[in-house]
Amino acid sequence: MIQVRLHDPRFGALACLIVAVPMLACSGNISSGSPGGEGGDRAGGSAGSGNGGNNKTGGTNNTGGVSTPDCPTDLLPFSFEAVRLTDVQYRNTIASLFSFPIDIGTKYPTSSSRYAFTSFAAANDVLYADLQNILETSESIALQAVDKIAQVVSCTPTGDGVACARTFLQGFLPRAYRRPVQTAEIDHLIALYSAVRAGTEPLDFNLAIAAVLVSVLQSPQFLYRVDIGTPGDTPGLLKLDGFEVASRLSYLFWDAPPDDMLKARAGNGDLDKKDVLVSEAERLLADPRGRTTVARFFSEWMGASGKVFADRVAAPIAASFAPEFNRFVTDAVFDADADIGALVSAGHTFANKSLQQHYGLPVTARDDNDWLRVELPAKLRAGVLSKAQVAASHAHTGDTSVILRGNFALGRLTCFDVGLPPAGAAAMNPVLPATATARDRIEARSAIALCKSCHSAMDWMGYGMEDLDQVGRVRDTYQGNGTPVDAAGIAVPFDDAPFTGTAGLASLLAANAEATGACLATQWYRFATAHTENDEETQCHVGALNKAFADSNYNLKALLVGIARSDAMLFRKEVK
Amino acid sequence: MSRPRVQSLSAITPSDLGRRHFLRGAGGAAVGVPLLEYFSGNAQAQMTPPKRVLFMTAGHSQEPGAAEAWSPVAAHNAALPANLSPILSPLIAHRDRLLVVDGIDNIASGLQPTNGHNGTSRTMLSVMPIKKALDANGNLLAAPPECTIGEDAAGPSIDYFLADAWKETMLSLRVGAPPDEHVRSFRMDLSRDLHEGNPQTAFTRLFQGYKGGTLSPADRLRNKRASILDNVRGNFDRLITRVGGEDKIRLQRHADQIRQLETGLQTMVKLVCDNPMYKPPQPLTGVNFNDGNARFDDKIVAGQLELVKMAFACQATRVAHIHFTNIQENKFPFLNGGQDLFSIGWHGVIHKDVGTDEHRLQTMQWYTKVVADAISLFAATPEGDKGTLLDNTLIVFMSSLRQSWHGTYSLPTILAGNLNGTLKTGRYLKYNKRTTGDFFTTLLNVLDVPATSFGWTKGARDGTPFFTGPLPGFVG
Repeated sequence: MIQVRLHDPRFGALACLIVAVPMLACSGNISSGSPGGEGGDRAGGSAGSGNGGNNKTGGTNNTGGVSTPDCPTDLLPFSFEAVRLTDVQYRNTIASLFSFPIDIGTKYPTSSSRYAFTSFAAANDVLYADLQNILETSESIALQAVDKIAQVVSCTPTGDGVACARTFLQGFLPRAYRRPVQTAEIDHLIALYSAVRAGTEPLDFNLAIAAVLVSVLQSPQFLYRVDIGTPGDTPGLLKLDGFEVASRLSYLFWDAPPDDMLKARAGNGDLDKKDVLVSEAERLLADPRGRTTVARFFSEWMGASGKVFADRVAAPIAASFAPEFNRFVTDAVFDADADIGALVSAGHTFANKSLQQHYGLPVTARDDNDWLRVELPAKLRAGVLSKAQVAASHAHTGDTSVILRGNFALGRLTCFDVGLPPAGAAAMNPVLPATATARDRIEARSAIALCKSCHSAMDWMGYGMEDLDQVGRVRDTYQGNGTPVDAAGIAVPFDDAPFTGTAGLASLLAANAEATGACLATQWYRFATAHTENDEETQCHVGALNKAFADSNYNLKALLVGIARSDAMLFRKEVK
Repeated sequence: MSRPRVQSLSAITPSDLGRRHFLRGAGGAAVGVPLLEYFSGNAQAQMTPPKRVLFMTAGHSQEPGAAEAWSPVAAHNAALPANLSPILSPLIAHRDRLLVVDGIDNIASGLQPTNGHNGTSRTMLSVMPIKKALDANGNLLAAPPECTIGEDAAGPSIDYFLADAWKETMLSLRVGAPPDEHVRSFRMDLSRDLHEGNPQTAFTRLFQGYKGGTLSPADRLRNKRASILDNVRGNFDRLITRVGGEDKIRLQRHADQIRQLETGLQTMVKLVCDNPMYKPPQPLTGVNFNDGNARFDDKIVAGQLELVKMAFACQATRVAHIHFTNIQENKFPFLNGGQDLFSIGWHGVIHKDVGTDEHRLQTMQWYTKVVADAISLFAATPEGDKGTLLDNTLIVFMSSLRQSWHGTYSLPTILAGNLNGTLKTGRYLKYNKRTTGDFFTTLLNVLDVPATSFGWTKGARDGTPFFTGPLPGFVG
């Protein structure tokens, strides 16, 4: 764990230790998850040995599977929380259930973007107002399904149709619940089937099947990803079954339910074995669906997902920002087999005609469908940092923002969490004349004790990124007053290292691969496990993931696959 | 621009499960059979009927002589006097069913320059300035432009807002020519509403796709929602016992909300209108539904009221609005055996350029007579076990003007119907320096739409805050 001190050379003396002002929610801690595992004493021999970079597994049973975690039980996460399917996952899961296209409509609740990743449980909480939309979406899907009943139900109903309804559920329900089902679960739905076929306004067979579908599609076994696990010899430890592990893998890499191969491996117990988990992770990642998920992870990590800047640039340019970013990161992972240094400081991008014009590059692309790998000028050689989608995501519509960019760089690139501003922070922002420079404003904020501890770290980081405007173009002068840009920043997390410009920060990040890699490993762990790690997890699980990352010389694909070795994929702590 | 007006509409009521579902509800036994003579089949009501609202709005002043021509002579919160007031006298038979309200000011009209009609009408039900009076952040411009005939309000009107909250179709009707200066209703997208003048056309549109009591598969499936949701909760219960910690909390919360949704279903009404057909009480053959001279207004308003009754009884919608749109050229010939009552249009009469106070009183009484007709009609329509449509319907009459100089202070306001005892009727409510924003906020809460404010809330005008809070004294 790196403890950060804030040293502001512009104000002379050591300003403060951020950890000394906890009331500001400005922790000043970097979750390093450093190779070798901080907190190894507590983790004991098992954790100290780690499991990254080799195929060492924990305790083995007589089938070769893992029966105990490498990390001590008390260092396991409580669980992946029960997470409602995101809108992307819902769409893919529904598509997997039927052999014909289903129109989902637009009512299914989308994930909140207020959390670090859309995969987080809290980002997908169901509000009362969402229930009606989920209900109506379920009804719409069910009606579409029974419109093509012959493609949904293979048997022909006779008599009361119960036997055929049961046959249908025996085939459908395991796919909907992504696991084998119990007879009682089918009985429960058959009871509904029978109820709606009787009484006033009885439904015919098709609509009764629709009613059953509406129930299934609203039930938590379908709508949520919930890991139950089974107790073993170790008190308080639950081991996930193969189908739970299969869902973890497939929803992580595909945002979709397990395919037949994964289910087969789950069924025969292969997913107990970490080498199988890794090979499956590699297989899933290599699928085109893996590219989509990887692009989403990096985009959400960069805080750049789902934003379109048509109010800042012409529509064709705005529409090219996100594709440029996605092409860059997927190329880095899948095609260039890049490491973290290339990710944050590469000097190239992929640009179409609009983007070449936007960045002021020689126009060599025929049109906007012609994407070319192009080298960038010095100030744009900053990997993901200098992509227009990222630069624009942390700026205001009309101008840049040292605070937004600084907060982004600290929180997302170095995992330095400054937390939320204290109550009334906006009102404390000093009012300066319109002619005041960004430096004047930073210095004024830093003169206020309550603001200083966080802003002196944030602002100087953002200040150094002022050489890119609010849509990611290099600028030499500030907007409005025309004075030359001063992009001399300070990277507090790197011992107050000075840097100049976004490319300068990128070089710092690349040169400090250990710290930058630790942060990326932490972010991937959060994305994969759908929650923010606690201290115990940091000690063992994130550390193990990061060790594997380091052992691979920070190869990106190794990091992504490495999560499959994590005990967090196989175990959970029992919570009453 | 975002709508700055809705401060905190917390949730839509649980009972708003779609619209235009002529057969809907959670099942249960039929408990009453109202006699709706226009339905060739039957009509059944179950459980507690839902609340409905009929807005009736005019653009006429109500001040033929002294203010007492409108206002009952009574103290605030006192029982309405037996003779009500000269203008309100057609409502005497319904005195115990009324709340007569004074002291509700439309001060939003003064947020921008306007003539006597464009601004007074556009702000009346929206309680918002016009769009062009606001900057990109929703703040009032220092020098707002004049509200002309081409302007629209910066917020939806209360009728559309309520219909949206209830997820109902707004049945928007008019008596008279399409409004020009007197546009009062704005949809949720802030487009202006010009209403339908022909009740037959409105009927066809509202009941379009309804095929004589034959339910669509979607409706038949929806009718099983209670059984389905009960089954879903069973699945939640099964899983919740197997998880702990945050998982248990999250899933339990979801299950509790489903129970809440089910509870809403159980209170819904199921009312069947087999093969509904529309028959106006007076023939509409030859009627010009765009006639600005009001030669047919009596026939049209009777037809529109009949349509509203039918729509409410069948639950085709729960929100309707009848706009009286003939203002400037209206000569009220139907009050004078087919001959024009005045030599010039009503606008000049109300400004006292021509006509007598007796003329003015006669015409103003016509509007209150229409309110009385609506009350009588709904009260004669059985609903539920022993009740009538009026038991579950609130009629709100308002005019955009009170004083003859286009004044918008103390807007003429009548409420009829007690919503199954929710409102303590038979009283006169007289407020001081309270606003349409206060009034509509009160209405929303009475109608089970939680809202802490409605419309413009910033600042004050002439010593009256734009928003103070819900009005005391409505609920019995």
